Amino acid sequence: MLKYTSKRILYMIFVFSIMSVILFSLYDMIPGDPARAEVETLKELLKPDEYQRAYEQARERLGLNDPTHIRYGKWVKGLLKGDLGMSAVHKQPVAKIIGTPLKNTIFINIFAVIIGLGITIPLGIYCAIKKNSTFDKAVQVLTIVGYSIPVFIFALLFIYLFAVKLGWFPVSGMATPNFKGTEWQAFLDKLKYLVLPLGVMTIGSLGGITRYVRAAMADALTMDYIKTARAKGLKEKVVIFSHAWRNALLPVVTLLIGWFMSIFYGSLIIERMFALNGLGKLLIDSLNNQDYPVVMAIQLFYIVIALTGNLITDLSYGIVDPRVRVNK
Amino acid sequence: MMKKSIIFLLILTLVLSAFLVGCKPKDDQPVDTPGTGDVTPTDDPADVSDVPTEPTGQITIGNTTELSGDWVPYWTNNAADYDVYNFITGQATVDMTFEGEYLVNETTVKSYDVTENADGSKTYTWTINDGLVYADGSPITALDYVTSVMLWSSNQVQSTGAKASYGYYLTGYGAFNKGESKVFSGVRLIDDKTFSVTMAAEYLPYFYELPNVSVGPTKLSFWTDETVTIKDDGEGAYFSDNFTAEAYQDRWNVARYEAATFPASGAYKLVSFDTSAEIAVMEVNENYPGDYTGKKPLVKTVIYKRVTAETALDELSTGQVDILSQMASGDEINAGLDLVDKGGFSYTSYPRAGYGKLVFQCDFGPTQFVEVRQAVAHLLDRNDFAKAFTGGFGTVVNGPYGESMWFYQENKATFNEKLNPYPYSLDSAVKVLEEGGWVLDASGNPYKEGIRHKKLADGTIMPLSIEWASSENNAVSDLLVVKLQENPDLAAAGIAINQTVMTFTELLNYMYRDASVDAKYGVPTYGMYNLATNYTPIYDPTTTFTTDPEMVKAGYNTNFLLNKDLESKAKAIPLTDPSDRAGFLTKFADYVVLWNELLPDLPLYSNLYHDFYNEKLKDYAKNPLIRIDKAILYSYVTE
Repeated sequence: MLKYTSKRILYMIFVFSIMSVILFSLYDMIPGDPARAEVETLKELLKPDEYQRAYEQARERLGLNDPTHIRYGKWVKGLLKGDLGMSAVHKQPVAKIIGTPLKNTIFINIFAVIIGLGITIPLGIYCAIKKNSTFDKAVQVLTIVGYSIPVFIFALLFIYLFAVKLGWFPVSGMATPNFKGTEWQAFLDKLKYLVLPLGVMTIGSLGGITRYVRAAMADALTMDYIKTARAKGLKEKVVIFSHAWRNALLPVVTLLIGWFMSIFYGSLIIERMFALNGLGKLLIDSLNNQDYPVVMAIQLFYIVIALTGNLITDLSYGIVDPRVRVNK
Repeated sequence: MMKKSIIFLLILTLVLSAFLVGCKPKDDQPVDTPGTGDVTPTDDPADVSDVPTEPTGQITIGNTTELSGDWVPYWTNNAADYDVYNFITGQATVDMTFEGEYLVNETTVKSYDVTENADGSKTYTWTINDGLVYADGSPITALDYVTSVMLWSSNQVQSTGAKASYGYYLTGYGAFNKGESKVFSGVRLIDDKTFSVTMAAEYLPYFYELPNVSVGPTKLSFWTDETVTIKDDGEGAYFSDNFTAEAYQDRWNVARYEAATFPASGAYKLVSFDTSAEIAVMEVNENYPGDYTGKKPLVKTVIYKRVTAETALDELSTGQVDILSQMASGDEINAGLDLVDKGGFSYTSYPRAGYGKLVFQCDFGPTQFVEVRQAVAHLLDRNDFAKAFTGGFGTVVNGPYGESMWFYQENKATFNEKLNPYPYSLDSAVKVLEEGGWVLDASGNPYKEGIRHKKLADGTIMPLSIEWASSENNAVSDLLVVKLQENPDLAAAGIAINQTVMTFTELLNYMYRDASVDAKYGVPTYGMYNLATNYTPIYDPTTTFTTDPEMVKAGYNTNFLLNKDLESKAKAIPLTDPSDRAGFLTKFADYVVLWNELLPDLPLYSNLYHDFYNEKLKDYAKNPLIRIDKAILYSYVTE
């Protein structure tokens, strides 16, 4: 197991290195001149020689005069030291810029995942047990509807209904301006602002996982060992949760771990609609502003998350299903 | 069973569709309003008895721009952060009226003296009033004014990526900024209350002299520590030797984001900034002496928060924000006007100080010929275009100005008489093309149909085919395709326009002919671009049509229109004595008339901005020249 894990980590490092080269080369090929963008506003003010000097200074400071491989080397060297570079737009270290949006995204998505799993797993299991009942069919229809309607439609509907018409929740944002109260009250205030985005995120994610859990569980319930377990006189709860669910978990585990890993991803649509300062919004804003140091840092982070997710998924298979346990 | 499920699904879809339709605004038709350029407050004049004597109430400003917390505008230049910066900074030596004219701020300045020096430079010696203090009660002295010029002109801050051009027009700036001289000769620290700045001879006369010698206070110890000083031994001001980028770069990176401890000198002080929620809370600065009229704020708390464009009006309607400024799209404005109709809200409208435009490059291809540019102008119904693009909330201008500018307003009669509005006309387009020699076909025979051609001086025949560069995901470009490129009259006139869609950065590379990025950009390729421009209260087109080869090469003249007459007329405008208002008006008119004939750009639309606000806010007036901090300073809240 240890050997397998070590090999996988080495493989991750290799893939990460290749991806970093690809990423760096791709953004390097995009036409644009960050130095010119930086000094552009000075053009109307400065004389040509002064403008040229400011431009050259900016090129030197941003390292644009070096050949690509030298710049890549410097970038990687920085990465190894935890230096993600400087944001061309914010004129701040990228690590500092990413901090707050990442924290916000994790904070929001932890709730979203807990609520989502809390609903979808029991619902999927129940639907599989009560397969073809009226309740099951209703859930099937609703999950298809939830799955098919774009998330921004739900966002607009929720805002219109619960914020504008009923006035129960704020339209957007993350806190009441100038809020005065204890830390606990401030936390509750924050939660009040998160109800609508969390509601939309949950609705948007219910369909897929519920149907997946239901399908896996329904398959498991038709297996011979379930019939055997029932024939042995085991309690239905034991049959479902100890025998069927454990076997149904194998195909579901990839999905569940993927969903857990999504705690670190931001959602552009939700963050934009509800004015949440999250990672998804930062990524799009940085792409629009051609702030590539920030874009590359976020995308590298996503690569790390994806690789880690894959490793955890593979290791989990061994835990969930002894048949695929790795001992080498 | 299957059938029942399908029926159930259909019913559910119908119910959802009905719900969605029900959520749509009742009226999607744009309301056409005349673009008079007048400020149009819809609320009744406020009852004088309502006006509070002390600051009271709270107002929340919503803005769709990101609020990063990087307050000072020297590193980054975010519009929302800059709004907050303007709320918390003030007490400068020069202020601006609502009409965009500059004057000495006598609330701050006790006396001042203007000396014309033998070398042609001009020295403004400012003596500040007694008792000026920051929000925290610490005194404001002449050192704080000198600090602004010195710090924000220094090579030290510039080396960290900051813009350091505060004292650009002052003598000695170049040497000081480059680090060649530790002394800034154009800045003098005379005593605790007196300092002077000297405007360099090369920039005089200059109509906008006052804003260039305007200085506000900056607390040196906040940006460095108590050990750094500024001295003056008679040759100019200079920093103590311990002032280095290495020593203070970390401090600058913290100070520029400070909230509660930021040394406020303006009408408001920052109380807090929530980075996660992007909310800045500001309270009245009790120590603010007022603007040039002595006006002090009457709104106690101002909150500035980021909102999203899609739900901004919902925020207004639910009371989560009180002001939405510069709404420009027809949908937003119509939704805002619906709110006003329902009651509880007001609005103010004013024209933008700028416009969307077609930029022509005038040194190659068909667009080098003025007749072609004029023909294109005749083949685009600009009134129709502006109406379609702005949803009816826009106007069309015929020259390089915004409708709100005083020098346009006061020249309006002249312009009505002398400017060509290029009315939509296929006949006029054909006529100017024929006058311009576009009378041949591809074989050199007299033109009958297809694309027109012209025989050039070197004997070659040029087709009237314009290459147009447009940026991706651009609504103006999409509308230009329909209203211009695919207009049958364009083909009937014998003109072809070929669109190439690209990223905005690439478009700029082509427009600036920036061969340093890639040699291909250095080759003139596109004759037409669509962009937009905005003006500040300082109208200075000195370099816009420069014919200096070095400046042209550096991308100053993006039209590449090398016309000595236009250049001299453009340069003449700001080279006017500040007291010669009539001279400025005449020079501006001369420039605009020639510009309108040569047509380096074709203005397409100028938005009519709308500010929507809660009726609790009274006396709120806005125009494109003043900032929101000024509008709030003259407002108050009734609750």
